[in-house]
Amino acid sequence: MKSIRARLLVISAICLSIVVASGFLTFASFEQFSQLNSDLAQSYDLVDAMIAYKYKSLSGNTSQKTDKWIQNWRVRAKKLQPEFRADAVKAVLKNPSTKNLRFLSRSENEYRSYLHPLIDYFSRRAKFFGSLTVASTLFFSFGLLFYVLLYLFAPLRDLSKRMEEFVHNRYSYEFAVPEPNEIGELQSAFDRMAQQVLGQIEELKSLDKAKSDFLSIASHELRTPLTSIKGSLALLNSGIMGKITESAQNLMTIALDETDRLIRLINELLDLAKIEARQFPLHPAWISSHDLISNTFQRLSGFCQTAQVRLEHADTDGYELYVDSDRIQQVLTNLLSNAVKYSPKGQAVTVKIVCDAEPGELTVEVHDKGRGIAPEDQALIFEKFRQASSPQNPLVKGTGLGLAIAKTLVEQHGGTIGVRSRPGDGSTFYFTVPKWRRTANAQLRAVV
Amino acid sequence: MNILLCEDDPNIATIARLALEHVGHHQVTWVADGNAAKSNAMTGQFDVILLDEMMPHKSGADVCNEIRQLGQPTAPIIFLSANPQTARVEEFRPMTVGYIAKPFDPLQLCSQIENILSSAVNNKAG
Ligand SMILES: Nc1ncnc2c1ncn2[C@@H]1O[C@H](COP(=O)(O)OP(=O)(O)OP(=O)(O)O)[C@@H](O)[C@H]1O
Ligand SMILES: [Mg+2]
Repeated sequence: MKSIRARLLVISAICLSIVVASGFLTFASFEQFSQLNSDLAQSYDLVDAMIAYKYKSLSGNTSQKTDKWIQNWRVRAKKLQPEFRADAVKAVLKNPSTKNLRFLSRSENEYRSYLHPLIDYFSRRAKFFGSLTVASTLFFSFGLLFYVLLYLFAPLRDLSKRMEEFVHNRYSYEFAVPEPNEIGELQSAFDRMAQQVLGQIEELKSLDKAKSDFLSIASHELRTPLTSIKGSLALLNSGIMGKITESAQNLMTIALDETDRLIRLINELLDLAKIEARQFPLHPAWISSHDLISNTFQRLSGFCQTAQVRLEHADTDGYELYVDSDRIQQVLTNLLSNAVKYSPKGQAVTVKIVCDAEPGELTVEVHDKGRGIAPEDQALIFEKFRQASSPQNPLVKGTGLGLAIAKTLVEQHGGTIGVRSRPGDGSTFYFTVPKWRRTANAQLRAVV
Repeated sequence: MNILLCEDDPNIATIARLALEHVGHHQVTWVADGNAAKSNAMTGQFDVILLDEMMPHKSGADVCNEIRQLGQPTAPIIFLSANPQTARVEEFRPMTVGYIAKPFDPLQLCSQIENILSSAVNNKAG
């Protein structure tokens, strides 16, 4: 009988029966006591009534009412115990002489002296069982409370402590052997669950390790031959190794361009895989918006010259962002290079910072006057390898990964990325930065 | 400049060597493994060391580590890395003056090296 339910049931049954039994005894004793008491009172009444009757009949004052009274007493006298009392009463009723009365009062006195010790006894008994009931009730309720505290709450608290430890990664396998009851079952169920979870975590960790090993081997194995191909082509194409014919040079340029494209694709794929595998831990720090944007502009200056597109910025000074500056520069570069790529010659691409659109968040916008993006494509282009339909005359052939990378990086920073555009009317790509402050008063505006 | 090139892949080594010799007109000594890289680096006859990150027997990082333990100053070390964002490069960043990512453009190689060296000098001065 180890289960807490059974134990509680048995204990409460015992307690309850003891309490009920002593309660019943108390009640019975009290009943007896009050019965004896009323007998005592009746005996006094009886003597008083008979004396009164004697004086009434002496004064000759009898009536119909008196007859009824006599009748009544006759009936009551029949029930009197012991029998000699009934006889005494009957004698008085028949002839209320002094002798008969004296006899009655003597017999009643005797009867009373028999009652007194009985009354004492039952009053003591009622008191005893009454206090026994109270005491046992108190004792058992405290006992139950103690049992519940000891056998229910203590193990429960223990278990919740262990769960807390599990959540905080401090779970140990060294647990006590669980008691063979419900709490023990709960405890061992939890332990089994914890072990299973930990086992799965281990498995995931090793999978993760395999993935990152694969990534680093793949990077190395893909980039090594590409280094040789690109290097050979570039050296040949430059003419340093000796003159080559014009058509050979054309072919070499094609090969070189495509190699560059392949390299970009591999770089972006690996970047994306690493970002998704969370292998790029962020190194966030406060950086001024001005530095961030001018550095990115500098990186893109060559590209913009070839495309004949200007880069401009508006309202971008006066903020500091808490970001990993390399990563956010990569986001900006991807957005800006798209904007430049899809802008007509001679147009400008504008970067803007908006901070009151949504309270708490700072939004960086990249606006171009290009061909815009159809509404049905606006969500798709953030996915891997998705490009908007009808790409007209792209300056550089894309791989369709730029926006997917930007999205992952922005989300890693806790922000969101999106686009507003009408076909033919340019597009505005934007992303939000959750943690930022104004430079002027260096006041922290929003912290996530 | 006198350059020590430590690179296990002979194709890449050839290209880097041609580029350094023909574009920048530098003198290049090529070694193909970590041990040779270490002993050559300690001779002190080079102006700059290009060290491949992944080499058989001894990686570029190991070479750096061993040189550091000996406490002997060497010429500035530049990592050649196909995996420039991995933790190892970060770890050895204080020992090196910079890194060049593979695949590199051979025509830009010399100017890249010069940029890294001059910014390292600036950093030291500043
Ligand atoms: N500013 C823009 N204006 C019009 N279309 C755009 C703009 N930016 C992106 N797009 C569309 O979204 C698609 C996806 O862009 P994404 O940057 O992901 O790839 P990509 O530019 O084609 O290649 P890369 O990976 O080299 O950047 C583009 O192919 C283009 O169709
Ligand atoms: Mg793009």
